[in-house]
Amino acid sequence: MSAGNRAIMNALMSISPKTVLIVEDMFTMRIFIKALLRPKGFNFLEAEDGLLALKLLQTARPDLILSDLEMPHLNGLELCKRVRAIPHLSKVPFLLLTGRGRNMDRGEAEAAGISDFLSKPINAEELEATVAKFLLPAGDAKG
Amino acid sequence: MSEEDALAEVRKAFRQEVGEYLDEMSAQLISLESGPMNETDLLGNIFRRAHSIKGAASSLGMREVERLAHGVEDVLDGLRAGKLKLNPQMTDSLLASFEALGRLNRGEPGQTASVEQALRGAATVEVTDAPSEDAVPRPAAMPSPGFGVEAERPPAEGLRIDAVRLDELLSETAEMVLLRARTRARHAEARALLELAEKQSAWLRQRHRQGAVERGVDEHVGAARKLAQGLQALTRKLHADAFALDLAAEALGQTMRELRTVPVSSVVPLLARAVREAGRRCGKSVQLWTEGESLKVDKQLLDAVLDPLLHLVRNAVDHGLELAPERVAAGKSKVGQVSLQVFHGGGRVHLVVGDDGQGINLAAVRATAVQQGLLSQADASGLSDGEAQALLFRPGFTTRAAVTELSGRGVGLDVVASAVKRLHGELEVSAAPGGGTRFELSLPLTLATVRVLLVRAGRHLVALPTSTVERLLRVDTADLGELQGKRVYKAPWGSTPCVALGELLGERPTPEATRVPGVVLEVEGGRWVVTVDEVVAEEELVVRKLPAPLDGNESLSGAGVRGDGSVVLLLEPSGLLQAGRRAGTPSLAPPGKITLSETGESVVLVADDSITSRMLQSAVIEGGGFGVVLAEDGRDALDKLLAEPGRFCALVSDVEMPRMTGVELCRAVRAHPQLVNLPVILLTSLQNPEHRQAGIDVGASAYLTKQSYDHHVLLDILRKLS
Repeated sequence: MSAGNRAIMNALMSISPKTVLIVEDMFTMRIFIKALLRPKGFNFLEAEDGLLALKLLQTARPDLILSDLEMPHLNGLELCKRVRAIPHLSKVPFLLLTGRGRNMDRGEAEAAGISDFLSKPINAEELEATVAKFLLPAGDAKG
Repeated sequence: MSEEDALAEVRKAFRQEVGEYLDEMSAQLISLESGPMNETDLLGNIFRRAHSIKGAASSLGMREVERLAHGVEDVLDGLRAGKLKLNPQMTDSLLASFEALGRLNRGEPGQTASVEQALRGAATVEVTDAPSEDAVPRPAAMPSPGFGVEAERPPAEGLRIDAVRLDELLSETAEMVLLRARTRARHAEARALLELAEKQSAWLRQRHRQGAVERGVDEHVGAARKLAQGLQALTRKLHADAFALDLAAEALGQTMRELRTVPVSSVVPLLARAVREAGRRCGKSVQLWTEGESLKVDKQLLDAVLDPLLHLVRNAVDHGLELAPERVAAGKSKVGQVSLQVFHGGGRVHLVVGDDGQGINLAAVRATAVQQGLLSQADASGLSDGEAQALLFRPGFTTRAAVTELSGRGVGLDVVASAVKRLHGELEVSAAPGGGTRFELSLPLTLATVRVLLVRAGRHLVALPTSTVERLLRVDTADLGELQGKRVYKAPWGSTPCVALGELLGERPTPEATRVPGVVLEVEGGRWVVTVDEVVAEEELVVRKLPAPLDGNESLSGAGVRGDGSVVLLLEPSGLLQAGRRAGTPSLAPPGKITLSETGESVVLVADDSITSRMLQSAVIEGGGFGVVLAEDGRDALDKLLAEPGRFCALVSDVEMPRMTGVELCRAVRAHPQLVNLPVILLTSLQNPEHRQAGIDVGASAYLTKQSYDHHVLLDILRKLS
């Protein structure tokens, strides 16, 4: 993409900000993630657990879903499977947040449709870079 | 929002949320201990909470919290997987680590090493099949425990609101209630005008009919009729508006109150923990049962009543319940029961703490009273059961021979009783059906308004909380006498201490009428008769805190704002009488006394025709380090200024005053060569743009509204000007 095109893309980005759905049962973590991503100019949707996220997704169309793994009612992996079954959401980037020391079968997760992983403790740079990888135009991930 | 603000917000949220999690975890752990129901769900939930805390703490860089939460998570993981089995020691160390986490979370200092070690010890214990001795069997025919998992909790779509914001909103709602009352007053004014206009119009019509026709009179008759018709329409509309505002204010107030409410169940975990701790220390097995705890009450009220409740449940375990052998001998279950029942009734919320113990030993109460020298043997035996029970609420009273670590520290039920009184509530003790004791607290639904009796003494109008008023009566002055130098009223039920409100307030004694209204106050278990000049009304007052210099006065519990916007002081009878006992004669030290400027301090002249306003203002200004001289109206103020033109550093004056208004006073001050530069601050009860303009026109230095209540502003201005 040429420099001029990037500039146009960036301008477009600022007109229609991307929407990130945060699925996480802890209020603290939701506002923490928002605080880290807010400077990038995203819109946010929030859900306390998988079931609430699904309810939200009946009407909302986020550009990216960022979900915790451990949650009451419906965990992150189950949520991803159900999201992938919704036609217009089959391609939406789905990032899974996993705690350190939890054994995670990456193969199973990828089969469920997880796009990428983020680990706790959340590292601001890793979070920004991973989200940018899916939401910002190629070559602008650091911008 | 800057990054730092954002992070501060995150940390604040973390503190609050982790606090809630820990309460929930403790409650669930305790209910796990009392029965194997829902074990998997409960363990799963506690585990998940610990896991969440660990994750968030690690992300926020809170290493200690993270490490401790990790330790908790390990133990719970073992329990969940069946590798470990819950025993009392493990429960203890888990509860201790929840508490340590709470301390870390609140930023309180403390060691966590021993807690962590205990946790590690617990985590390495192997599963044995030996049943734990202390495990309490679940009684078959018991109501369900009052707390536990909310597995089926419907997903709440909530919004977190700062409690401070809610308080602000509530006080704004209170303003609306005042506006409603003012609108009603306007309606009454309009109706009075209408009556006048109708009378005028009728008179004119009659004159007209009687043939007293002069040139132009028919024109006036027409105008008068139009005026009356117009006023009639206006009155009707005002009435409709007042009614609509009524409904709106009512609905808004209701919603606001609901918004501020929290279920009583939110404090049940704390009570459960206190009961468990108390049981452990006294070697008694205890269970706490709750009923009606889903009832929602004002959060401020619940916070305020928490300590009394904790005291009562500990007291129930320590004093109420017998030791296991005695219980078994009495044919009771080995496990003692402490209960909390919550219900609504009579516009109040009732909280009943009960136990199934030995009940109150009234013989022991009587004996202790004699032993402590409170009563003679004969008096003690003559007490009714109710009167003997009332002894329990006396300061320092305890029947427990040895002071226990728990509740017999000489700080007894009197603390509970006075705390409840401060909340305008009542506390009653009775025997529970089937043995045991029952403490019933009844409290107003909210702390924002108080039901009061308005009484007048001389020029003072003051409010007494109705919760302390036992009854009203006519006091025949012939029945007043003296006993050991103190005035008493020889009431039908016996001689009762008696004071005149006017004297308490520093009024000169008025020539006494033969029969005066008397208010019987019940304070700290004793009766007082307070004579007044007039009982004015019973009203619901919106109560506000007093400004800084007055807020420490124990005789005053706040200022109430009446429907017409006027302010009355709310007396705190217990504080008033305590102050009185210390000083010999009760007195509400009138802060309005003239302070002389001997040391060359700056003296402010305060002119206001309302005695209450004068008191408030002079207290505030004196609190700011100024001397104060008072004037009753504009004329009085001007006389004082002219007598000593160089004495005052500023004039603070009300606008609406008889004889000479503040505006007229200001004009006169500016016309005087020696006073032309005197700073003049005008105060008014209403934000009236015309007044403000008039004040500025005549050269006022500042113009403030009284209702803003922000006396810091007044002091700031005074300091700048003088």
